Amino acid sequence: MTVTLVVQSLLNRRFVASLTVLAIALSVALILSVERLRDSARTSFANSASGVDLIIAPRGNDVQILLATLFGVGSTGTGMSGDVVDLLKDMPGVAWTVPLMQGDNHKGFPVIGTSEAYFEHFKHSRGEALTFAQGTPFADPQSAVIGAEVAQRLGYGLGTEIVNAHGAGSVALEVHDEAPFEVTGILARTNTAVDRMVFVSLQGFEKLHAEAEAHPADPLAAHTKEDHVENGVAGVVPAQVNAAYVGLSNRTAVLGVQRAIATYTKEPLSAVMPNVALLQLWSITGTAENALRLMSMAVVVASMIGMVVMLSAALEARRREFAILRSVGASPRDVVLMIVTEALLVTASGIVLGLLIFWGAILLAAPLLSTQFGVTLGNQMLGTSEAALLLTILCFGGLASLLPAWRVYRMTLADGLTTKL
Amino acid sequence: MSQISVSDFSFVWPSSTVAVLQNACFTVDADERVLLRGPSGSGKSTLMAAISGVIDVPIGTVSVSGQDIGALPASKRDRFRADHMGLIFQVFNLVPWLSAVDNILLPCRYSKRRRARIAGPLDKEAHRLMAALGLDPDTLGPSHASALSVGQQQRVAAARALIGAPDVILADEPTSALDPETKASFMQLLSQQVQDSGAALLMVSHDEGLDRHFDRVVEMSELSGVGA
Ligand SMILES: Nc1ncnc2c1ncn2[C@@H]1O[C@H](COP(=O)(O)OP(=O)(O)OP(=O)(O)O)[C@@H](O)[C@H]1O
Ligand SMILES: [Mg+2]
Repeated sequence: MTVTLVVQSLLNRRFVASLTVLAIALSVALILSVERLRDSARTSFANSASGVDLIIAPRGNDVQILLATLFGVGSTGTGMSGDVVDLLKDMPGVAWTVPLMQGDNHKGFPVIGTSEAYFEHFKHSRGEALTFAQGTPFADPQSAVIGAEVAQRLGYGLGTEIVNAHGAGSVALEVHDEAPFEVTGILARTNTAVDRMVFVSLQGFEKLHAEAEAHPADPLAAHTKEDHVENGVAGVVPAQVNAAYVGLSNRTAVLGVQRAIATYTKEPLSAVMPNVALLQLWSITGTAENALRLMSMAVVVASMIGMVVMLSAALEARRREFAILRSVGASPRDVVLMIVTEALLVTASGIVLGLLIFWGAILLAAPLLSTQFGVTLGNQMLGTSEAALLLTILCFGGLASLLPAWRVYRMTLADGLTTKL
Repeated sequence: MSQISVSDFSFVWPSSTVAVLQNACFTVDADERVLLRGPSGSGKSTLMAAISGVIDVPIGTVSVSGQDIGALPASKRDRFRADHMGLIFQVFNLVPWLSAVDNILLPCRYSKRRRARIAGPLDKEAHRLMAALGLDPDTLGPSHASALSVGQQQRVAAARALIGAPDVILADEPTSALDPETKASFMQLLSQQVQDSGAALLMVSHDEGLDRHFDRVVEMSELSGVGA
């Protein structure tokens, strides 16, 4: 009953009312997007990092190592001796090791040189194994396996020949066009960084660099490498790798392995626990995230203030209207209820419109975020925390309306039925 | 039995020190039509406010339809007003963004009793009243109140006061914004409809020549029991 009256009243002021609704809608869309982006980034990262117990790499910054290995962002810098991987394999509590070679890209997607063990042991999204949508793991040193996103974006299928470039970025500094790889396997989508990776065998990766560095400054290093490639058999770890993933059979072994790595005398190494490094990363990005959240909240507050202004500004002009309503039997409470209903209606419309904008934005932004940053936006319509946020905004809208409502209450009491102004 | 009964009622507006009404005594019988006259500032509107329950009155001084207004809490007075009274003012009677029909039906939003007293659909009753008051319901019914002439607005206000047959119609100078001809026809129609519905009518007016529409004319000076 009150609602139909309020709707008619709002329709009468539809210009100002719709501007207010729009302001609220945009603020709602903004705050939802910020939250979704943040949550999705965290889940994506956590999912990417969930199946590896330790990352062993040349000594460096934990976060940098994490980003370089699991996400293919940046590089670990120098390499470490392949012996380390063999050494790790025999440590107590170690279930498996996967050596990694990095530093190349294919059209901006990171290229990882690794062994077949990678596809066998790497887990993502809380324990899910990698599966092949098509094809098989490496058949020979020149075979490549690509992630789902790479296949989709570049339109690759089994048998496609690919050429990699040196460098981690999308700028092709030096193209290894003398050594093409052939796609023999395409991984099923994981919604993690793996989707954006190109995997080649260690032998293939190493051969590429050996050939490229046929006339290096250090002839000795080149010699050993070539030697190694010549007797290259699947499963043998090359002389130099960039990092290694370690899976433990026993969680408590992590300390022992870490100690062994820290005290390894032949070269300085780091043993990074992905989850710990992720927390470090979040503490770094946390400040920016909080600033962003604070700002989007400020925008919501501003839109609410806009609504209060709209309601309050109209009060004087509506004095007569309220007096008329009182003369036909409306109590001051009914009038107050009208104002609060009005605010709730405007806020609710803003929220609904904001949701539509938000969903539209997700639809548009999801593919971009996925290719550019490997962040998969959660595809649920509305998470519980997001719903709670919207409910909070609605309550806030109702609460904010108490200010003009209080004024109107005083006014109707003072005015009575006096309609002369 | 008197429909409106004011006995020994004195009133001072909270913001002033001078009593507007002093020991006022006054009654209106059921289906009686009374015209209240008096100089400006003599407290006519104040008396209307007291009867309609908008201002706080002492217990035992004002009663309408047998209900002691002073004994009701403020919220009950609003409900009581919706149930038992129809009000018409000088100007600005209508909510501008509602149609004429919606304006007429406003009391039915707040009063179950008045809704219940209407046999058949509410719209139809609103249309009947409009027609009875000389308004074409088909053309004017759906039009916004702000699009009506002042004379038409007053008739819509009268229809609103009459809908659902309240016991009492209170009209505070409803004709003062109208030209003499409109005034006469408005009074004629209002008076007729009030009589048909069996309500009591208490009307304040400065206008001369309206006496013939009323059963009785009361001067404000006659109200005070003690001298004045
Ligand atoms: N809301 C109010 N607050 C304070 N004083 C008021 C209020 N309404 C009326 N008064 C005072 O009460 C007195 C009587 O006013 P009232 O409106 O009842 O007179 P009236 O007889 O209706 O006059 P008029 O014929 O001009 O309408 C006036 O002195 C006025 O100043
Ligand atoms: Mg008056």
